[in-house]
Amino acid sequence: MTVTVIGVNHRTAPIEVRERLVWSASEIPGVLSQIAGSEAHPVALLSTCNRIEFYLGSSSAVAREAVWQAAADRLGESVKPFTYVHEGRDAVRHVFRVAAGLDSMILGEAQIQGQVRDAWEAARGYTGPILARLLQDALSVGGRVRAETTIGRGAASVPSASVDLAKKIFGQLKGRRALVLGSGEMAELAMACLVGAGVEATVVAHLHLEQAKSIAAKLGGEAVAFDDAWERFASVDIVLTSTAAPHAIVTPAKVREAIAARNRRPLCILDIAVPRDVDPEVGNLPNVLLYDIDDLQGVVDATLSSRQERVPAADQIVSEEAERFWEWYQGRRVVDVVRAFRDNAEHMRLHELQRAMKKLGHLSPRDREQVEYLTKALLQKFLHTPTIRLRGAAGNGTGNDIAEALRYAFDLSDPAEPDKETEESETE
Amino acid sequence: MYTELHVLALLLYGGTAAVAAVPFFPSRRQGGTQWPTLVVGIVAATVHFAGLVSYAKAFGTLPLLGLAPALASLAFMIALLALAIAGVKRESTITLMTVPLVVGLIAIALTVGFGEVEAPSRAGPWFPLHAAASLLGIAALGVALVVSGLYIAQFRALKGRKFGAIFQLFPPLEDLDRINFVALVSGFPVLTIGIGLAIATMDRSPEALAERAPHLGWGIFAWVVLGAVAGARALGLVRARRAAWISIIGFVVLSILFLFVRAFAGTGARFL
Repeated sequence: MTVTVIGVNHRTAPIEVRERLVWSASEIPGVLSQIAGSEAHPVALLSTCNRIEFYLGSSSAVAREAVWQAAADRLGESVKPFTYVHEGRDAVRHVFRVAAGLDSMILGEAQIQGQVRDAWEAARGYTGPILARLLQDALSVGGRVRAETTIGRGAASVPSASVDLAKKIFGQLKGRRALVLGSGEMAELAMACLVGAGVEATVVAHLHLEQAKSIAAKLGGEAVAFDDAWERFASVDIVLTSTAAPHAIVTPAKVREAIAARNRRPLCILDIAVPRDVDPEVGNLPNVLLYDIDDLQGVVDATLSSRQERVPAADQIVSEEAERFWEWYQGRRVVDVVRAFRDNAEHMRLHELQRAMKKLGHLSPRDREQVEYLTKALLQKFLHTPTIRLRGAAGNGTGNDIAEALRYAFDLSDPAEPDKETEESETE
Repeated sequence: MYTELHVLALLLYGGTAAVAAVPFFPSRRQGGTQWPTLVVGIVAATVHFAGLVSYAKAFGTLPLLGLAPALASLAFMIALLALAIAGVKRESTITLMTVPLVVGLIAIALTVGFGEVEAPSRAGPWFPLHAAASLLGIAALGVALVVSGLYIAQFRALKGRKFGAIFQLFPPLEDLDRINFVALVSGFPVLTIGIGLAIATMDRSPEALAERAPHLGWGIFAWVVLGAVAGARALGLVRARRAAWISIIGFVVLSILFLFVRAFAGTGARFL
């Protein structure tokens, strides 16, 4: 029995494969039930646009085959060429790295933490105690990595870079005013991010007033005619430009007067149009902080580079936590084997005692009690030393191999088979 | 004992700067350095305060008179203000940048040497309040200097599109500008109280005036400088980058004049 990860991600499978493999939230219980099967193999599924991973709490060949089959049915072909498999310690480490965002397409992204939580929630009733603990630990490792390394700090996309830049100028964005020139998906995304960060009054200017009104309605702002936009440079704090103009439309001549009337308040201009909407000379006006799309990408690159530098510290935390989990896991496994070993011995004692008593019917009740006491005492003495030594071995990390040998020698059932009672008590 | 405590405080301020500088080394674990910085900083300030109390006990006078005690008290006030700001704003770069100023002042005090200083003639009960208020006013200008330095550095990073450590770790421009404003506008009335008390309670005999002329002259000049800067800020005549530069220039001019007066004051004159 061991923890196993079978998965595909953005590095091993192209988008065409991943998009076909994704299980929606409503489909997950069905596939988990299918893989768990009648033997109730412990299983969980993390399904995101960049990663589909099955977590198995046993080394059962049946469960693995069920995973391959479910994935192949979904994809319409064998999924094996795109998959990776991690087992044991590697699997634990992998799950922890995933939750910490260290294996994500955008290093350190925080969304994965919520997705792991969703996977755990969706798999309740299927995980068994080992996987339940693994996923809970993964969430806390993710939190610890983010808190201790600040790997998630900074903007990792152009819209969030816009917010970061504005925040570095104005601090809190609550109550700030913004002007949007033009339209476009990126502009709307960036503006939505700014509004989400607290920017309140927005003014939208567009060559077509109807278009401006439509965007303003989405952002909860005011629409103005394009030619009325220039005087607004005096009153707003942030200008976001994204027109389809073939040349710069914001020039020093048009905005110099309005900017001079700002009384030295900084003005942040975010020009995300290509070709650029704002003449670079505007950036030389006093207290104007002008950024184009390359600058915003520069913020993103700086963030990602900074996050990359934090990976060794994050990996160190992951290794520490994976080792801690593994110690718990081994200890728990040994305890389960010891319990099975003792139950097995007790079962044999009772069976043999019953047989013997049938032949010793002439014994008085007191003698019968003595015989039963003798069998109990013998068994206790026989089991005492192995039990103590196995528990000791569990503490120093060698218990798992010995437990396996014991399980093999006495033909004990696999203690990893889920025990519903234990599972519920540990996952609540 | 007061010397040892000041040396220990100096080392602890250095430790505060080291903790605050951790985020500039991204390969290290560094989550939440604000609180560790604040804690070490408070320990340093506590030891510093103990050093000042120890001096007061040793000489039976508050550490406000004489160059070394006055500089040590000024450093303590600057540290205290910076820690208060760092606590409120939950960031540690202000502390990091204040440490060189604080450590520099303590180092000068230690170099000059603490020793008994004769109180000015007819120093009345208002004298400690005059000295404390004057030092607090100057400390506010010191804080304005630090945040102005941060402002200029962050502005240059933003204007020059350099998105490295300064951009990521220094506070936003507006926050720094606001701290500068509060420091100057609240520091000026405090200094006014200090200077006002000095003028109101001073010994006006010709000998005393001659003795105190450099001290009074520098104090009034400091009041004029801080008043001009604070007034310009309060009236909205300067703000942002210009305010930052004016704060820096004001502090530098005061420091140069201080050194000048200190170096060239007559032998019979008293200066701090």
